[in-house]
Amino acid sequence: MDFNIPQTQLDVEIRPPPVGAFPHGLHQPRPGWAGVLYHDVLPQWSNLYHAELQHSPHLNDYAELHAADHPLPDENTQERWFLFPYFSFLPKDVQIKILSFTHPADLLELTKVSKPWRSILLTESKDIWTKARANRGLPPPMPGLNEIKYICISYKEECMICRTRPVEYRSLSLQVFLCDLCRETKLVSCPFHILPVHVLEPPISSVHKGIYMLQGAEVHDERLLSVFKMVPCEVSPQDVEQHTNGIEVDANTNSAQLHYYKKGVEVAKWFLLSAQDDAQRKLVVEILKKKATEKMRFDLDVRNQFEVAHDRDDVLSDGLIEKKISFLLDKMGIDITDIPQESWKASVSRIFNFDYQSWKELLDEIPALRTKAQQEANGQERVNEFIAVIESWREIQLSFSNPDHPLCIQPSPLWLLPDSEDLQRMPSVRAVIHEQDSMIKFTLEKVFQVIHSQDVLDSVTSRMLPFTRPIAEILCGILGFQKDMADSLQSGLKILDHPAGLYQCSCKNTSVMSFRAIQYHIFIVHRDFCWDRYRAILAEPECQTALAIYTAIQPQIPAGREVVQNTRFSCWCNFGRPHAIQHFVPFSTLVQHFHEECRGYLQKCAATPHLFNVFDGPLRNQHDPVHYSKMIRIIQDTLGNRQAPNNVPLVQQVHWQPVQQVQYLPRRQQHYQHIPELPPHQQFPEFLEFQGVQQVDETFDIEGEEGPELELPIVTVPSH
Amino acid sequence: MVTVVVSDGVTFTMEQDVAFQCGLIADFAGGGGDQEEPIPIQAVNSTVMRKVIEYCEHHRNDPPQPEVPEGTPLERKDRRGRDAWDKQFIQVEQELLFEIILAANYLNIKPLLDLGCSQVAEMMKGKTPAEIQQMFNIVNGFTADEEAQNGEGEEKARNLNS
Repeated sequence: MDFNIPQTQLDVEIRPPPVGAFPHGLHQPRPGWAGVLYHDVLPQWSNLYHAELQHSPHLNDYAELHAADHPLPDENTQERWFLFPYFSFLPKDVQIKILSFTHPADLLELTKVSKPWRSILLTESKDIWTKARANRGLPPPMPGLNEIKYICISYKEECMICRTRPVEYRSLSLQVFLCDLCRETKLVSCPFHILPVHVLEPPISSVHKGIYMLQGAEVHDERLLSVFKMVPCEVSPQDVEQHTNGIEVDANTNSAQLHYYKKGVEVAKWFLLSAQDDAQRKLVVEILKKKATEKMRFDLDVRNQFEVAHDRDDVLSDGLIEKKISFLLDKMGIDITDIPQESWKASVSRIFNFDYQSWKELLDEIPALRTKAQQEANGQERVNEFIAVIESWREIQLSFSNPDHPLCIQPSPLWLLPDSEDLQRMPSVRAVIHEQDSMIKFTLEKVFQVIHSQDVLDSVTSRMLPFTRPIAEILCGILGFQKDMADSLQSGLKILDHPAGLYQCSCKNTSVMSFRAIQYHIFIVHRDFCWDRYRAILAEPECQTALAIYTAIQPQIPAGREVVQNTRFSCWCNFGRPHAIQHFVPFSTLVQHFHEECRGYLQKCAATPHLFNVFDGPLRNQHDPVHYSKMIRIIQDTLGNRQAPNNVPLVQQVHWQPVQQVQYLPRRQQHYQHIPELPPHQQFPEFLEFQGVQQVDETFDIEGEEGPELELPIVTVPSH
Repeated sequence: MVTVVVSDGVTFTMEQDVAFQCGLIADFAGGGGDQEEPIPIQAVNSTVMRKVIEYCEHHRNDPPQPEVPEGTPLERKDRRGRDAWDKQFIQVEQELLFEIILAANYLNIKPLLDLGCSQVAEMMKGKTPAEIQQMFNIVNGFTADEEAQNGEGEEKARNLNS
């Protein structure tokens, strides 16, 4: 075997390196270093290697032989030398072996090292990933998930969407790795029962231009289905018209709009498909048109203003968001000099894509920033702390306006769904709704069976979605009253922290006090702003400091009330979705009474089926006062009939407070105005006993055990 | 005793149990008796051969290693196979390391090949692509677009931090 390959066969020209031709920072050869080759000949060597050569020693020998002709350069010269590329000259099977010894996380980086490596790793030898994964003792990926995707999800450090922030959330079943921000804004948990999978689950590649590897987005856990960008869509009546006639979308629409638009279109199409005959199809088209007209809430004036001021040639070219904003503010004559730089920058830094929505949010934020600045200037620091709690509700309100936020109240594809009245005429759709009811039933069952189990709570919260927020509300109510405050805090915050929960804003600085405050926010937001009750919390021993604050901020109460009312308005808008379970205001009362009257009952006996009856079936429209009255009656009957197993002692008499007037949106009021308001004695005779909401005294106890019992009127349970 | 001649003409004589750890030599010798004719090993030079023999002599009394099932974590393999001496042994210059790997591959000494490969993998651990390119002098061969796509994430992160 002749290893002495002559120069002609190698076809490599050995010559001194050109001055300054090599990038800075490369190694200089050391004395005795065999591989003295130059940059411009390496590709030829590499080709030669791939064609013929299998061993490198003779190349070293060859280089050594000729090294004498080209002495090493002086260290002071500008010439730079390369190391011999040993790795590239290794046989491919050895290269593969080496790569398979690397850590899976390193493999991800190695794909970027060179084209041949990328080729080896991604196409030629995919079993490297399997070996690397097995070498680290990782379990194999679940069926349907390939090794590379599995490693990406497990080890990738940058968020799959923004590709800048570190990954904080990884889910194999959802096949995502996201930073906190993208998780909150882009990922929504949703049961698949609501709509068919192909509507809810667009291929992730279509959302992100195919950059990411999660093509197809198979779903492994059927009860967990992620929806990327459950986005609002800007669908005009004309759009609906075009769509239902099968006209394609204008290609000039920008990509985000197009995406939103397509989703709205998908929903519309699905409903069209679900129609069984022409008459029904016509009905569906009418419904969609009507809804598109009703739900268009886009502020066209502001938008036009924005577009006029948005000089693309001058502003967009430099790519600096801050400059664009200053430019626009200047053009619109808005002065922000009274707002401190820090708070302004913090607001601006939250904007990643400068679009109309961000701009509008920023404009909305200016008054709040200005107020804050004024307060800071007045030195009301302690007041500010408390105001911050109030302001956090403002954040929720803002989030309702953010089109990327799951709780967004902008026009959304879901808003195109029919109301309950429409559903009555569409049996195939109604079947889907029943599926959703089963889901809720399942969730509640798990919650009440093992309410202390953290695993189950995790499971439940992962299934929570905005539509079932009242269930979260019940959980918060019940968990909040558990005796073990630590468990209660933990599990309650789990729910509160979940993006699908409403009450996530105040949970950052966890403390018993704040948790109790949050509990009461639940009541506060769903009832009128009950400062008496709030003061009762603050009067507790550990809240003495807070009480002082409360005293200090009393002048601010009207502002707080306004914020909360706005928030409630937003909540109600969100609940305005037909699929929402719309027992909005009354449920806080319900939860409270469940605690006060039925806690033991709930824990010990099978009360849950009755509760399910309340949720399920014909009584699901609890936003309707008549239906709500019926629901209350069922619960009363259930609790009063003493039929529970194991001779569990039940409450002797049930006390119910009357429900306050449900506040509807004007639209809703209009919608239900044809429902005759029955006098109370016809709705629910027992309510005759009540004359109004009981005012709670200051010694009201949050646990419901230590404080004096409320003096409530006694209701005689009707006999059957 | 087995005698081998390496590429630079140096002759090495070693005992049979040392030599037979090399699959190539064992095949040459046919598994029986002393070999009178020196075996030519042209692909290995004397420096590398010394290291190889040093490794084989140290492991001459090792029991035959059972087949490791697929999927055994590396830590467990390490506890069994790669001891402190091995780690010390393989701490060599990059040039020599690659020569040892090539020699182990050529001579068919699987434990030594594994040792060398894992050492190279160790060198790459936690390095960025640019550092690896520089360390092994690898020409990446990406087009400008591909390069931009690779660097996009880092660029964004830098902008975000600045």
